[in-house]
Amino acid sequence: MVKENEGASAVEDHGTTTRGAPSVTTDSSGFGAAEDPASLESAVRVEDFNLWYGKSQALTDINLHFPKNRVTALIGPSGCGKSTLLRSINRMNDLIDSVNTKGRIFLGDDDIFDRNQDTIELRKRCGMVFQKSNPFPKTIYENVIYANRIAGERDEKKLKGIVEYCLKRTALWEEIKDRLKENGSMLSGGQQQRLCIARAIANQPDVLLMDEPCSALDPVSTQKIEELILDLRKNFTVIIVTHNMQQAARVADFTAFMYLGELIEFGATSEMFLKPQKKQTEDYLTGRFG
Amino acid sequence: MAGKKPNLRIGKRRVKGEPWVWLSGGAVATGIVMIIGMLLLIAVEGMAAFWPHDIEAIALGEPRFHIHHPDKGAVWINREDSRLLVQSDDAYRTLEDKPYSGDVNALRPATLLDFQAKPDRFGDAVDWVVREADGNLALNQGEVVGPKGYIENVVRQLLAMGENQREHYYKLAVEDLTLETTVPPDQLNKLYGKLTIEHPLEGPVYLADAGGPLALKVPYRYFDGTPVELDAHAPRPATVTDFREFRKLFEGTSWLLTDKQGSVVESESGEPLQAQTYLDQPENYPSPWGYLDEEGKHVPVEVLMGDDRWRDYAVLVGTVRGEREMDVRELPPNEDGRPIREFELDETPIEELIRQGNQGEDLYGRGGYFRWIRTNLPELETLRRQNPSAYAEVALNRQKLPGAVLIERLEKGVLTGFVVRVTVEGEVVADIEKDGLTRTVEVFYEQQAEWHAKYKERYELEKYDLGEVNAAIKDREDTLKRIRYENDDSRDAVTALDALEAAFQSWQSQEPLDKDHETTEDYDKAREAWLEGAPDVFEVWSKTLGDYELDEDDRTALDRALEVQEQRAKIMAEDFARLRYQVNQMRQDETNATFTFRTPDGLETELVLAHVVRAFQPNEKGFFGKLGVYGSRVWEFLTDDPREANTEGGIWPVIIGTLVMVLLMTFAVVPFGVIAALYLREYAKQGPLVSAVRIAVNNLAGVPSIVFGIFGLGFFCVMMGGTIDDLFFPELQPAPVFGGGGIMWAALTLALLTVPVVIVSTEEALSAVPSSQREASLACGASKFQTIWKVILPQALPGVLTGTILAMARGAGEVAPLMLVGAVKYAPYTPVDGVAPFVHLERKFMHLGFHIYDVGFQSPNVDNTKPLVFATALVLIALVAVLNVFAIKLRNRLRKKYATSAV
Repeated sequence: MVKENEGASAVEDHGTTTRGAPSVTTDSSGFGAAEDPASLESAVRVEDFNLWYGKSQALTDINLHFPKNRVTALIGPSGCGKSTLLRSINRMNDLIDSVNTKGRIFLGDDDIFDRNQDTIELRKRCGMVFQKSNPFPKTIYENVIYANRIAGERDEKKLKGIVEYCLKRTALWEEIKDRLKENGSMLSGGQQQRLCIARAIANQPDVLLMDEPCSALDPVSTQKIEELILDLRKNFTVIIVTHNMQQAARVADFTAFMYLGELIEFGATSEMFLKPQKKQTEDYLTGRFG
Repeated sequence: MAGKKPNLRIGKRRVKGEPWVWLSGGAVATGIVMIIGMLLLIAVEGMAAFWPHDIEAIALGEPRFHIHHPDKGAVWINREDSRLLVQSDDAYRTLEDKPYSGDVNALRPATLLDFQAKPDRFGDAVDWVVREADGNLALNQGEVVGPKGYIENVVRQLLAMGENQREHYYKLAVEDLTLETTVPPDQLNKLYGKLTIEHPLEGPVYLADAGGPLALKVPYRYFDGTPVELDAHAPRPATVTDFREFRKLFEGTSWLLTDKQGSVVESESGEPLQAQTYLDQPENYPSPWGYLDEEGKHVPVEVLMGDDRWRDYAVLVGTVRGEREMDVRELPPNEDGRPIREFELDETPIEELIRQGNQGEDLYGRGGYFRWIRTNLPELETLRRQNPSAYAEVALNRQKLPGAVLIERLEKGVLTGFVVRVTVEGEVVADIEKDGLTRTVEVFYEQQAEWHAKYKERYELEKYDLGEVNAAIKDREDTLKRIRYENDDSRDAVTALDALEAAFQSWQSQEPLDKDHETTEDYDKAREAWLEGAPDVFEVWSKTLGDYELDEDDRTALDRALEVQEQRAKIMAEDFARLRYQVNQMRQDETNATFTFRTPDGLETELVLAHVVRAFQPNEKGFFGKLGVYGSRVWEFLTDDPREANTEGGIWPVIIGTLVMVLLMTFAVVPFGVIAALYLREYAKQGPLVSAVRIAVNNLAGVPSIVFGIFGLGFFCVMMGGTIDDLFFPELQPAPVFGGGGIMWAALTLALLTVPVVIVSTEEALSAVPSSQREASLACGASKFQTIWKVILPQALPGVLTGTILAMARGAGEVAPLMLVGAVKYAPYTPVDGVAPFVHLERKFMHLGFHIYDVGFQSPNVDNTKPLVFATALVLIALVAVLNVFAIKLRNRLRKKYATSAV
């Protein structure tokens, strides 16, 4: 908490758009108290969403609310469409020529597929962290403020503040504060991934999309990132795709289980892991397949 | 067999290891050896080109004198038994080598008519040849043609020829044939009658009309009158060496000597010189070749060589420039007639290239500069007996010529010899007989340095100052042309302008002549008077303006033209004439300092000191002294303008031309190629169309470069250049400005040629940037352009530079297209210089590749320029290497900077 306050004060008006601190408490089991997702304000709303790669359908009739300022995990076996769904939210799938969609996704109140929707604006509101860390071959400093530079921010003092804030939020500051002019690719794998997270939050997005952020990392780094996610949740809506059910259980408030392009079950993590409603979910969680 | 290790057999030996390793490794090794070998060859030959070699006197096997019988004339020596022979006019023999028994007076040369009438008489044993009336052997398509073939082919062709051709041919074949449009049979006979039949080795064959065997002439008989049995090899003329060596053969007659031309050599008193006297009094009849001693006395070469025999031979003076192994097939065969083989010789016979220093064009005529002579030959005596002409090219002995000076001149080539006298402004400042050789040479060096500096000053004044003034005058003239062009709708205005030009010309014709004014002050006065006359001339013109109908525009134009003409007159009189007078005076002054130069065979000539570029005594210099000369020659080569049709001097404008062209090309090709590649890789939707475009681009790299040259000529020079000329320089037409070849068009043509290389490597570099980088950037809210500009391009830059390096290397070495779009043999002004606007894109330029071609294959003496070819190639390689090193350094820095994730 102290860290966060320091960061916020260092950034003058950067952190002023503070969202209300979450009132979620955690019990000793590690699960948050079960909440009803429908009762919460949603950051991202997916309605009757279908997606095809060419002729094969990857997502079928997805309906899902991602509650605001909560961590939602997408789990499911490989190829079930969780990454596709995640990448649909900031329209990264546009890069693939053969993709077709039907249905709507709302970010806040905006239909992201609306004809008038500016994808660049959209992506500014969705930070994204990828499976493999991908810092730019620039200095650590430039890496963090990439999005701000793109947005035309020139005030170096302000940018410095952002760097410090973001690196503190991602618990990198103490480790690398003297090496800001070094190339980002000189860091270790875990540090690189945290740097990518710092880059993703530098622009104060509404939603942070994480696509298996820990799958290439060792347990220590994974733990650090998980702590980070729990911390970030205060200010951001986090959607995380993961293969690791323990991770989902550790960090997610809500979990959505997907299978073969369909949403099977969605609910509070504690409830889902303890009392899955559907047989497929139970089979998956208990390791009978997947 | 399974599991058995595959082995490579070389002969019977089994080589351990993987066969493919041996094969592929061998291929790589061969490639490396070839590349290194090529570079080494060019480097060694190129660097060796400037080494100052010693001046040597080389005694050749060429005899100075032939032996002459006082009554019977020239005398020959039989190469088999060393007996003397004289020429015989009336002896004949049959084809079977028996004396001719019939009446020799009835014999006459056999003709084609005889052959046509009685072919049987000639038989098939000999392949007869036909000699035409012009004295040459009859040839058909380069092959000697026999009488049968001649009748069958040549005469038939002759009949089929057009009239003019036939007429021409008659002139060659028959001198006295009356020319007719058709050939009547009797004239055809006459044509045959002029064609004699010959034995391929023995010469003409004779026959008597009455019959009897065919006869061959016996050209020689022994001195005592007995005929010589003939073989295929002619005896050789006896030389003074023979006289010296076979003294017994020559006993009893007072032999005379003849020179090479066959005229009898006379002694000082005007009497014919007796061979015996020549041998007995070496001091009276020394060799003309030799050197000058410290007192300036002629020391004949035999004294230097320490052997009296050397005065019998011709001597070659020069520097050895190169050597090669001799083709042993040119040596006489072994005694049993087997051709001699390389392995039968103890030492490889060598041919050495000699630069004959004393063969300056003005002294000895053109083209005798270089000569191959032979050394290390075995069996010299056999060679002398069997092939005197080959023996004449053999070096018998060689010796450095003491004190000899090598002189490199502005024109007409190198001279070697001795400085006899140095004369400055009519006064002899050094004379070898008074001051001695050393002192004379010293004075010569001093004066040469001083006067050559004056020449250089004059040259620079001429090239730069006068060039600048010329440019200023041309600028005014162009302006006048423009004014005339702009007002050519008004006839009166044009007439008035022409009258103005005529007025200027009439003023210009009053220019004071140099020869009327001895001193500069005098000339300046005349020049000022001349300039003062200009306003009067223009005044007269102004008064005639009333005769024309002129509107307001015309008046302004005429006023402007008058102003420009006045400026032109001012520049003419003040700058141009002054400089020209100055240059002419300097040129005149230069001829005041001269020196007398004496070649080693005693020929003296007077030369201008200032026109000697470099002079030194190679034989007196040690290694470091020579190194100094070498350095100065290399420096001259790199920094001077070319001289003597590019065969001497330097290649500075060539280096600059190449460099500027390559840089211009790079500036054109890189942005163009990168943008094209960006579109193909990042923006275009990948599909059949883009694939087709990509294939087309790749194929573009395979188009022969001359095709690009022709495209460049047609598109850039003619179309674009022509359009630019039409739009901006219409008044100068038909003289082209951009409409001809120029460095800009050449750079653009090469840019087209190399753009596939840049596109392909840039595309590769772009596709090598991981897509995660694109996604990361896009996810941060960057637009596509921002992503490319900030993330993709920086990471692709090393790849782009790789393409640039390849493009530069290819562009720098290209010659064929450049010949069409602006590279020239000699361009006095470089495309970049100190005259505004400093970069002259329309200028023609010199290019190293084209220069290599020109020097190596278009110059009159290839032996002379071969070292320069290597040296120029070395500079080209070095230039490309330097450009590449810069690019590679830059690339490595970028690589380090933009290295993607090390994980």
